[in-house]
Amino acid sequence: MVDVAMSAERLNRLGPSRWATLPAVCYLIVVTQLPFVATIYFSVHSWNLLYPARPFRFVGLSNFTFIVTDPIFRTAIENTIVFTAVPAVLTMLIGLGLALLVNRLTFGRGLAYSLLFSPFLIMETVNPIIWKTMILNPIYGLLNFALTRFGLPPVDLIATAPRIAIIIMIVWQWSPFMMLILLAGLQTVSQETLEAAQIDGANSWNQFRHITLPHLVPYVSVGMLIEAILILPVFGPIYVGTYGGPGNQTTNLMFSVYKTLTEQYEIGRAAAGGIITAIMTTVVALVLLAYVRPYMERN
Amino acid sequence: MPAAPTWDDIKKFACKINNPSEHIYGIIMKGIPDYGQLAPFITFMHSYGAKWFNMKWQPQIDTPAFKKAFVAYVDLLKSCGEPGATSVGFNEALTLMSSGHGAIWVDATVAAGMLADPKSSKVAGKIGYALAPTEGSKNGSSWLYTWALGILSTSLHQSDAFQFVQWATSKEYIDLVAKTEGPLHIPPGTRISTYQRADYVKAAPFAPIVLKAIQDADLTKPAKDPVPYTGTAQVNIPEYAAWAADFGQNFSAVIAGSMSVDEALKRSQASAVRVMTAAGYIK
Repeated sequence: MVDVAMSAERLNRLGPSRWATLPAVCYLIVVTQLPFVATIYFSVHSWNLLYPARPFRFVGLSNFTFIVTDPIFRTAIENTIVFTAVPAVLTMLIGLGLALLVNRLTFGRGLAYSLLFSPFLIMETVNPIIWKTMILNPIYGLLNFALTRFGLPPVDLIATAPRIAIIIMIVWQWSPFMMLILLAGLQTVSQETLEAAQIDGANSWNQFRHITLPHLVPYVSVGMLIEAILILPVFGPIYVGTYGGPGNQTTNLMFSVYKTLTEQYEIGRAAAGGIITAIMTTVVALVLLAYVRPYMERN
Repeated sequence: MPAAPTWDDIKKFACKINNPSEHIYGIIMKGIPDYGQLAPFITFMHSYGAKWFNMKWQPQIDTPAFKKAFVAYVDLLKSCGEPGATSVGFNEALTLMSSGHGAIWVDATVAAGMLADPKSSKVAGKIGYALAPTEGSKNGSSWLYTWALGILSTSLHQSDAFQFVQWATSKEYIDLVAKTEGPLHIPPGTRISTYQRADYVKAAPFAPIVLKAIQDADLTKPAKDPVPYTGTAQVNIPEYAAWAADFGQNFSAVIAGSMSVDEALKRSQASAVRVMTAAGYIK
């Protein structure tokens, strides 16, 4: 009797929450999965909008093999990896530094935090304009103004080192995000453990290395996970900043897909590029998630 | 500056005025990889007597004539033009000119009105105008590009859309612009009647030469030699974007200094041949 009553109670408790979320779940499926299924459908067909007379025909995996063998797409895949991995590491280091500094502030912390966080709130397409036009421009940019003041020769990063310019733009925008996450981590470090370590004679570096850093590992992982998912398909800095760069030096997969779609109107190939981007993102996310999960379950 | 200069004249003047230490550059030239902004280079190339295709639709990108034009463009840019050209498209060039950093700029006629507006240009009133330079071929030395209005054949409101199109290109609209924004901001390329308005001719000293440039531009004769294609800023075939995009990227790489001229021409020729063969123009 007791068992039946309990399970009926449990069912009643679960029931509303199950079917109350159903509309939202249906909406999510329609809005995110249906377009994805359509993309998969297009990616195994050949369809060029410039030639409506050509038949819309099934071509299996040939769009995918084109992308992994074509030298321009290969460069795009390499650049995608570089433009995701390097900013992930750099934003972690810079974000950690900023979080440590902000954590120590007692006076003016709110102001410092708001100012430091503001790059993250700028639109992805305004970010490159600030860098390309205001700072990196070889004629009237602030960087060359500062360099010539100190007697150094002017540089043109966008022409000579375009990848570095793109990485700077991405890192500038995403370091505040890591700072946000790591600051949350720093503020939950157990003060008693730190004090105990201090009493035992540990200096501040050892306290940092053995208590704070291990505590921050799950925060770093979560931050990198989110960054990997959101930075991998980066488009704004490349489209506005370098338009794929001199030659194809800063073309990444997303930009290649954009150009295939809008310049060559090859729908099937562009869809295949989109699917490959999604696969890359999913692989990175699963690897990082597997790393993070033990910490999340422990908490 | 003669009313119809040659590119030799332009080079002479630009290199004389060029003063990089004062941030004054003889000529502002585009070097951006975006193929849609390639029109100044394309007309430069055509005015030098080169062409995209011969009568058999074979790409002519690695011919000596094309290379001569390409090298001339890059040399002029590197010796008497602005640095950082790989970031310079129309808007950036307009910024440089209107802030007084450039002496010469060869680009769309619409820029005349923008540079003459004292609200956004520091050099308003100090600009003179000439026809597009040539270098042995008047054909193809200027382009005709238009921003047009179209109505989708699947639209359910076609007559309403047509009414809008009629209004937007009407004399009444011109009157409205003249009244609210001033005669200088009248769109220069919509109606011939604009050029008979006394207030426009008075406010826009460039009006007669813009009209002559528009009327002289001939899309059907893009090159000195007979060619199978029409179109000056772009080539009127659907495959244009495919090889022009690759050309734009290589062109920008040469200006950035990361690719040699020969390598860029070889690659662009190869991709043009590939696209044209796949499209069936050449066997």
